[in-house]
Amino acid sequence: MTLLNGLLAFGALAFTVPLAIHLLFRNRFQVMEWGAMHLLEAVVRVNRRRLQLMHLLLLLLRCLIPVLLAFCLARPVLTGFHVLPGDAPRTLVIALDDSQSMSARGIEGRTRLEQAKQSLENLLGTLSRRDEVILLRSSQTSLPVASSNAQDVLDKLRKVKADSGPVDLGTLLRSAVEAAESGVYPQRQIVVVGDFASSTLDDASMEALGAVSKTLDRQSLQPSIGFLNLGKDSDQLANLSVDAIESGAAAVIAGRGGVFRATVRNASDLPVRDLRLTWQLDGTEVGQSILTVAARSTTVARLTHRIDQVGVHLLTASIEHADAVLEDNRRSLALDAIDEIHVMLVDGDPAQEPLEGESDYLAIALSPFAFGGEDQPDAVQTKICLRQQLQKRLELDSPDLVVLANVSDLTEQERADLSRFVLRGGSLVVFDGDQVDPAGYNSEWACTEGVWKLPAALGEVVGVTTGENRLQQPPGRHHAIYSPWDSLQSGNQSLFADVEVFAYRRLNILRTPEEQETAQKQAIDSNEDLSEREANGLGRNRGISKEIGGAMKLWSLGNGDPVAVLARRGAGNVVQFAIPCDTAWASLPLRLVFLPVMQQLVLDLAGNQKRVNVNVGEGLAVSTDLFLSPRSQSTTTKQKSAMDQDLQKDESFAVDTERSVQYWIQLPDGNESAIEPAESGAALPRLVLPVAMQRGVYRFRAEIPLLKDLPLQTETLRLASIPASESILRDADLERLRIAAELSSATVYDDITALISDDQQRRFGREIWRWLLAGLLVLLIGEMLLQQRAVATVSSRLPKVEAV
Amino acid sequence: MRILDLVKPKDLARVNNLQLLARQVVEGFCSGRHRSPHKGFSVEFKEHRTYVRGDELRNIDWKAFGKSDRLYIREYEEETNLRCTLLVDRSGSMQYGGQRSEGRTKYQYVQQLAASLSYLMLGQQDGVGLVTFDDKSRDWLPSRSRPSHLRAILQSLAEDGSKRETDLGGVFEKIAPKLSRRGLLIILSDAMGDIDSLARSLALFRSRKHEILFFQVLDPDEVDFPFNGRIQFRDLERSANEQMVDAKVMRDAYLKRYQDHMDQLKEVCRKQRVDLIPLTTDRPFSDALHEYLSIRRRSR
Repeated sequence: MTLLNGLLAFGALAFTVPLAIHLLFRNRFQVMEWGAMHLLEAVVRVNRRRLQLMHLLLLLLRCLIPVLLAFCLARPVLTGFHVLPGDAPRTLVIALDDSQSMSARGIEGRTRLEQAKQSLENLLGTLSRRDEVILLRSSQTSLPVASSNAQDVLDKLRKVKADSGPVDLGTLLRSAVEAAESGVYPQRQIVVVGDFASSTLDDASMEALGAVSKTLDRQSLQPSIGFLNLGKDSDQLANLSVDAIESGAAAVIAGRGGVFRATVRNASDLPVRDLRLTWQLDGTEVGQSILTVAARSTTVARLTHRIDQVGVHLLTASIEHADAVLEDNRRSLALDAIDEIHVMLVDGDPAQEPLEGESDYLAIALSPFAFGGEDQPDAVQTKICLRQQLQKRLELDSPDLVVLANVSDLTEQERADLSRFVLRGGSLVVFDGDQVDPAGYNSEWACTEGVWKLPAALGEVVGVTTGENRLQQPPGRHHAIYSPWDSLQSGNQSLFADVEVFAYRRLNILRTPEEQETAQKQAIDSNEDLSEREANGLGRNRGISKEIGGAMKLWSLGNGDPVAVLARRGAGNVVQFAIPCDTAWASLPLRLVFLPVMQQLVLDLAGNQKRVNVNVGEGLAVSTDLFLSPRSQSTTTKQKSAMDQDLQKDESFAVDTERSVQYWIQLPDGNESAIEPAESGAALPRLVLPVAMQRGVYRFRAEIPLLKDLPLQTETLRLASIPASESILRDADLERLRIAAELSSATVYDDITALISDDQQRRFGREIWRWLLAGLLVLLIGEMLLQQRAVATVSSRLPKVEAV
Repeated sequence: MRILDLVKPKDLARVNNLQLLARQVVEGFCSGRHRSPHKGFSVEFKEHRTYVRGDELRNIDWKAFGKSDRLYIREYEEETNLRCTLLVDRSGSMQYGGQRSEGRTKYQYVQQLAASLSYLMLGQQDGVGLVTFDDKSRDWLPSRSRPSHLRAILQSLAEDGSKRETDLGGVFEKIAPKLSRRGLLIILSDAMGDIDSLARSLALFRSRKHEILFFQVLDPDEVDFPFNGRIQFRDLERSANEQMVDAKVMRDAYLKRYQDHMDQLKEVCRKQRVDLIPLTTDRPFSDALHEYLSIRRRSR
């Protein structure tokens, strides 16, 4: 125990005053001759011992009163026999949850972020000028931390907006611990401020917290950690949100009508009627829907609309409703409307008769309108060629997707061309067949830009391929992880339930680390973490799992053998089928599901090479060829032709043009800055924004001074959205929060006052003057009561006098 | 000693004007101002009544017979003198005198009161006797109606009080057999003693047909216990008995004890038909006496 005002403790010696008075008055008394001793004697005799005790107790109380008063004034502090840091400078790391759920307005009308700012302002007010403060926003954990003082952090805090995605508490805390480690002072404190929504404490986050705990155990200077939980009233908040906008098709084709769906969720206990949902395309209203959303349920609004112009468009659905989180009443989706897809079918077994060729079924499935002679445009334009024409057509036609249908083997050069094609973003689909030579396919696909292997090694053929006694293999199922096929499934029946597979080639997915390493070592990394691709929106990335470099099963038989696998190779994709695309080994081409399955696959693979929708916190990458290439998808066919002619006139001119181009990026807040293209291996330079920290539209612009008159695309956009999970206002389970706090040796607080109080106690010890003051008051009252009780007791203890 | 040594002339004059009337008629050796239930040979005519057979012939008013030719009997009121005995407590407890009574002790007050009463009653030609006592009877003057008897009474009263304890019950039980004739007993004491034994002795007096007046004389300090601070109370009857007391703390307890004592005493007096007159020494005794006699007159 220490005393803050130690000198005042000497005031405790004032206890001698009542003691002296007692002793003094003990020897000072009046002697009186008394006649009525008959009455007095009885009173004294009965109460003598009790009075003596009470007098002693009174003396004790009266001595304690000045002692307690002196200790109160001396401000004693309990230190628990530890040496406390006191007012030594410290490093304070503020880990602030700036996710969208922090913008939820409480019953009192203030958002959680405003509460957090107010609380942190109070906390910062307790710091000294020497203290180091690091502000770490959950949306910016990947950025390098910068330490500053309390005033600077206050200024930064005022600018913070709740516009980021879900928070992973483990990641946030790990970043905070790392930031604390970089602190200047040995006294370190971490304060995590947030609403601790249930999504914050998922299993992955708990595992991460466990790792953080181990890290903390290894540290010699462990920071003190506090969780300030501002999300305690979520159950009482009513929120309506536009959770998602989806397109009915895997790709949006310019000039063709598309169906778009907006999911509106009502998280309140009351139904919402006559809710107006407005559709806007690039800021222009294109439709309205009046919805009724039942309590605790969702409703889907549909829009059928045709996008005429090729390019990236912004489709927005907004509702007009006053609720807890206004920010999620509006959601946008970037749509990359593309021109037709060029698919080159390399037929390994051509035939003159209809439907006898290896790729006939597939050609019809991809371009049904052309086959039927209808006037309606197909999204996919197919060209069938022989293997011998592969290199030439590949160069001339520049297809978006190449299909190898039962092609026996490829030469080194052919493989090199296809390898380059894939690495540069093209897609390759390999169908098996009786002519396929596995050895060639299993070898490396090498070119000057890289080397890769197929996702799966071709093995032996399983089953009998021909004859009457061929047996059907166990029926297969498609894997839900590949979402483009999800919309084709109806009910619980498997997508491929009625497809009979009599024979297939065993596909051995590359599993060993060496093979994976070989497969990936030359693959061009796109700098895009595929784990982040499970977000909303279109594009093939939607269906790709985390198995980058490896393979993902799209369709498996009942025995687990894959029928179709997909893997990313460089900027492109490779899909392998264990069956042919005709009816030799399986009945797939004869089934109704064949057409939509192939359409969706092709649209997904080749329909969108750009990732136009990302989540806040993810990176953005825009290839520069988007601005310069004559095959830019944002240009019309006529424009492309003109550009082809112009650019092909002088190759060096194009090179000079590239050098003189300046690129700009405009952030959602309107700030525009120059951005330099980043080289990424074999691929073209890209404009990369490592982290999209703000929600909204990011506009990339190219200034091409030498080609002002050419109809080149000079601008494109990308959209960063916040996942719908941020609109689900659900507090974390208290038990889970407690476990999380235990894992990270943290303390959970509901208000900043308690946190500050604990901090003060930790730094200076526990001040106990309030307790002493309370004790003093008790003593004063006790002294008064005891004195009165002494009189009353003497009176009440008199012997009863019975009437004679 | 003269009466004026004990009683101020002013008080003496006031006492002289009072008429002490006994509530009960007692027999006296000489006619006094007290009425007698026996009608007969007396000087004060009361009334005539018609003669009935059996009346003595000597009581017939022959003059009335001569005038009215009817027989009447003359009836007279007989007056007799009072036989009073003063029982004066001179124990140690009677030696207390507080500031509000100007240092006059209870015994001094009783001396004056007893002298006044003696003077009054002898002036009425009533017999007055005196017994002083503490733990036992000390002086004993039998009842006399001679004026010269006053001197003997005053001499006995003028003696200083003792330092002995009080034993009202024991003393009265010893006195009672010696007071063979019925009379008026006036007790002058502070009644600081055992009430039970006092009750028994009063019952004994009452069984002998005595009328009893109890002047309880107390100092005002004994009534309201006005002390503060630490006081060592030393017993006036037993010098070895000392009590160190925080007077303020003890006040309520003492007052409750005092009230209980008084209630007990009043109850005893009520049961024995004893007139209890509490007096404090800060009051003129003549006032108290006048008040008492007024009450007696009204109750007659």
